[in-house]
Amino acid sequence: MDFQIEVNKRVIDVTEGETLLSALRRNGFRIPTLCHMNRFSPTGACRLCVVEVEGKRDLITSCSYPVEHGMKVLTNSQRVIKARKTLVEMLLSNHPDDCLYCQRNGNCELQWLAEEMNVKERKYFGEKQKYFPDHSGSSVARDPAKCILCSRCVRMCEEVQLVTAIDFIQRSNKTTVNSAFYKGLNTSSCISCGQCITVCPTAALLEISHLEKVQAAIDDKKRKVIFLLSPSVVASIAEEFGLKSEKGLPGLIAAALRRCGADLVYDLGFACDVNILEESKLLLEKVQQQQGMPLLSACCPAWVRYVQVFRPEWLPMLSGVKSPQQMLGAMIKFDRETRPRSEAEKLYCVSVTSCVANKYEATTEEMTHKGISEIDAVLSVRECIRMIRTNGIDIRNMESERMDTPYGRSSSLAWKTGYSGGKAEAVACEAHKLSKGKNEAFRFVMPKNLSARKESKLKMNGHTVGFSWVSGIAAADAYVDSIIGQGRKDIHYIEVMACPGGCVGGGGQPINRLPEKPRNRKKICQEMEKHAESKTASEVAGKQR
Amino acid sequence: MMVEATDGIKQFLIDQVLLNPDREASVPVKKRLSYISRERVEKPCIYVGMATCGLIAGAKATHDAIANYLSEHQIDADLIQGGCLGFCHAEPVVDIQLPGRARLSFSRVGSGKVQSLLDDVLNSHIPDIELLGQYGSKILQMWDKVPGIDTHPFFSRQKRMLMEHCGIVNPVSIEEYIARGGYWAFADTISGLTPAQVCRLVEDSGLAGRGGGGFPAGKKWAITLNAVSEQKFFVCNAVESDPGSYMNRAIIESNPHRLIEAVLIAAYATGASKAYIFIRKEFTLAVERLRKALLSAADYGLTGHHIFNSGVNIDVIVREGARAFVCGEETALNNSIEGKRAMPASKPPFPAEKGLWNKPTIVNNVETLFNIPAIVRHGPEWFQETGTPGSKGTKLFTLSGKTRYYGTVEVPMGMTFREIVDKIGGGLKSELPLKAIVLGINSGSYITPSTLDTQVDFDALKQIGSSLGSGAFVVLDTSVCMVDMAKFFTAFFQKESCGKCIPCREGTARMLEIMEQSTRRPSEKLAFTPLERFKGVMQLRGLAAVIKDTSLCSLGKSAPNAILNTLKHFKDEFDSHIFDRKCVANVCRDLRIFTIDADQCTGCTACFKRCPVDAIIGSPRAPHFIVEEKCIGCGNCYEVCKFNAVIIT
Repeated sequence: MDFQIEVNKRVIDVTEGETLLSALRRNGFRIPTLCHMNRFSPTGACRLCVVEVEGKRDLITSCSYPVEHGMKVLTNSQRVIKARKTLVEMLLSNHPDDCLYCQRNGNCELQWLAEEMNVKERKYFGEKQKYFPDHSGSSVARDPAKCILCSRCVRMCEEVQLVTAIDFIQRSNKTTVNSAFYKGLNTSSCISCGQCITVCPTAALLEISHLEKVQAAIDDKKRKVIFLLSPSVVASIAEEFGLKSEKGLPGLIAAALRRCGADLVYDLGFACDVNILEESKLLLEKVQQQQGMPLLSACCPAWVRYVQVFRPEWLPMLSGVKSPQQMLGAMIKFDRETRPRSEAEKLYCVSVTSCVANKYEATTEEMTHKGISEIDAVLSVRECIRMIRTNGIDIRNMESERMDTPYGRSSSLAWKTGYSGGKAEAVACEAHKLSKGKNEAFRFVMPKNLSARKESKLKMNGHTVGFSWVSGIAAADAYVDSIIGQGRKDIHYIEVMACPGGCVGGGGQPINRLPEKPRNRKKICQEMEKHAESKTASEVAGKQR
Repeated sequence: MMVEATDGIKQFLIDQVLLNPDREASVPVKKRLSYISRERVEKPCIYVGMATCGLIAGAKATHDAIANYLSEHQIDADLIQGGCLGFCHAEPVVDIQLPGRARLSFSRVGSGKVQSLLDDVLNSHIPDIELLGQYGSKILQMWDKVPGIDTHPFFSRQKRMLMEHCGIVNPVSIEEYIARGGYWAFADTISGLTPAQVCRLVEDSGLAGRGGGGFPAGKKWAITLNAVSEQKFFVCNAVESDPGSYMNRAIIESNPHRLIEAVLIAAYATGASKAYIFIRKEFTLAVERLRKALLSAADYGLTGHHIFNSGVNIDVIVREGARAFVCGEETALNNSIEGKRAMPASKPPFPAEKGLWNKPTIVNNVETLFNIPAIVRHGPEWFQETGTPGSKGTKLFTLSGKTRYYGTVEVPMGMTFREIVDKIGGGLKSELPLKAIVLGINSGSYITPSTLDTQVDFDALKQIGSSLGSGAFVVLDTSVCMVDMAKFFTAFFQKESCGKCIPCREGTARMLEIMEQSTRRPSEKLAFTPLERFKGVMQLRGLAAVIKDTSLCSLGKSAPNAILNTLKHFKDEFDSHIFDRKCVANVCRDLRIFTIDADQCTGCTACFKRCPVDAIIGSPRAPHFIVEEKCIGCGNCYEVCKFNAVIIT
């Protein structure tokens, strides 16, 4: 602590160079914000973090103001509180009053703020403008009427994901966050990662919902509805309902899905195993031939879309292995040995994932065969949880059931694909095992310094193979660019996940910004690894064959 | 000394004038300069004032008519497209200078008057009509019985320090500018002064920034000069978008070289190697002339790399910005130069530490910069002679509104507002009394009849709770409704809000809506009930306080000023709108109620035919009647009635 300042007549310790907001929050002063995001440059757009500083004519925003020697701050003077309340009232003055019918009802920062500021009546009546919701994209839907222009999504899209599919358009109170020339997200550069949804404080950004479609399929007695449950979803649902991470956890969720009307529930972790196995083989092949390096993972559809749109020159380096979701969809529907084509039309594959880019991936033309798509609908974790709740299923008082065969098992490696670094680790383990030819105890050493970019080296078949992993498009783009630009030959496999932190931070995950509820999805994944029976992917995939 | 190769002139101007410290002592140099500057001419020389104001008044047609006349009569004369004298009232202005005689100036010369004017003047006969006066000169023969132009009431009280060449020189001719003393200051600066000395000199002069804040310019420069960075930027803010002001545009159009010289000196003094002139794209003529001037300055070696072998590198770049009021805010301006959306950023960090591309950047306004060459050339003491103890120099205003004369005026600091209106503006056009002077929308402050004797001075204005503003000077008489004015200002701020922060974006919209709904016709659905109107006025004050307190940039902070000042100075008028539903000036359309005086009405049916909503009933040759519930208050009937039968109640 460098020096002290006075806040509300109390003295607090602050560090030179930090913002007033961080100093206040650390010392237990609650300052409301709408536009502030940790680790992002402050914009000062919402003005809700204003405080009164002695000697300053106007109120100042604590999010952008550095602490100064001898500062005397008031965070709860009548002037400050009145200003904050008026600001919230201004936002509410032309807000569509449909909280009861809103997707984010109960989980909306504007709602919380209005409650916190004790807004009990509509003081100002603003003219409600006519906005056109954008449902043109295949995974992200926008409703500008609920947008409060905090610019969190804009900064996320620009600074973290490097895509800039949305930005401010127009001036005055006609300003909206929109895609270029109001053309809609489908023609924009949007990569469907859905990170904008996770930072939106209101319901201005949501996923394109497939719930109704799925419900219709369940009700259709002629169709067989198959749910594919991915490991990261199991972790998120467990976190949401407070379930214990024990061996029967996936089966418990499978049981819940069956009660919702699923005819079959398969484990998407199985496809992850196949994916890991295939990618390991591909990597060993490339290492042997010493060409086509580095191999870029292609299991993240948002990353694949990014490469297609922004970096087409990297396409040859992308791994040709299909993403687990599409792989399993194809296996279920188009396995000629077990199933005739006429039967494929009657199957309805619903994938439950933590990703909204999977919604986009499932609709692409490459992922269909003669008019039949491999995956018919994709539910995000949010939708899945809603479905479980709507069906009145008390998941905490249920018995675990087994997943359906043949795709009902997965190895511990599959659980690793849920978080950043896990997939690289899994591929390293599997490749190591393949190169040795036997099941040997193997430890992958995690580097201690956990920055956005991580690297690790491993000896196999007489070659030193470099693995690295990176999450967030901006970091990934810069990293891959530097590897190629510097002509580095020591990195052979790069795992890229578009969402910061990997699938556990995916765009389809439950949105929860309560500070007292930290995220522990990754921890659940890691605990579940211990319960898995098989430790290698080839064991699972091989058995199936 | 007839036609001479331009190369010869260029070499002479560079070697004998710019790089020669004893230039003023040499008689032959002086004599040659008087020809280059067209102070003396060898053949008739005709100037047409062709700045934007002149062009609107028809200067182009006048120019073409003169060109036709000259070629028809085979007269060998120079025809020059000049700048703006500032006297917009008199446009198009034509100046004629005959060899050996003083220069004459004529006002309102439409293309139809060209023939007779030239017939007369070229034969040394002066027509009485439209004569503005003659320019004083020591070396030329004056005309008899012709008043000097500086005795004209519009000019006599002005002090032209910034506008000394405006309307007199050919704006794009670098030769004329150098011959009249231009770029001398810059040439002396880079050869004889260190950047710190220049900063000191400007600080000593007491020049305060004219953008509105009034921060000492020299001090601001010194901060940037002392900042450590491998790259610094200088930015000239030429985004003049305050409604009612256009003096920056006028002086750039009339003398672009002076701005370039000032930018060069300022960039040198602040250690910036790149200078941007950020100008509104709509100022097409100013941009065109600025670019031309910049090309010729580069041709003379005044910009670019290693200027005059001094080792100084300064690049000047003209950047056009879209029409947005917010671009005048320095952080938004920097964003716009970088190619981003013009949105202000929170301060700190200030541009002086982190501006363009995160490098120290200094932003100065055009008017501030126009002072620089003269201060450097004549010294700080010369500058301090003009003005009041607190505010030095002169101030430009765009005088407009209800005065007899209007245009760009330059007054010494310390002149009272009454003097500007009564003497320079020639009083009010109409016989109505003065109601207020609007000093720029940014400050939103009014000078009322009671404060008319206030001096043009930063401190004096602060005392009456006002500020100097951007330079708009709109004179209003009692035919103007102040509530309507406040609505206009609020609508302007709402329209120009960048949309970033909540108070400015939403708050101004709410204020505007309250104002509009409170002044609607009582019969309309959207109109407020008396209780709602009362509540609305209460809310206005609360909203205004929060907007002022919490807005991100100065645009938002000044947005509620218009309404607050109207409430302060014109409370009665405000109340009569809200509570009595009456507009004293009969401007607010929704509050006008028309009736027909049955005694006066002849039943001509003129109003009946014009009414857009069929609110007038009656048969021909019998008195008509207005149905109040239907009437929308458009006033068509009032305008069309020849018998004064329609009355506003």
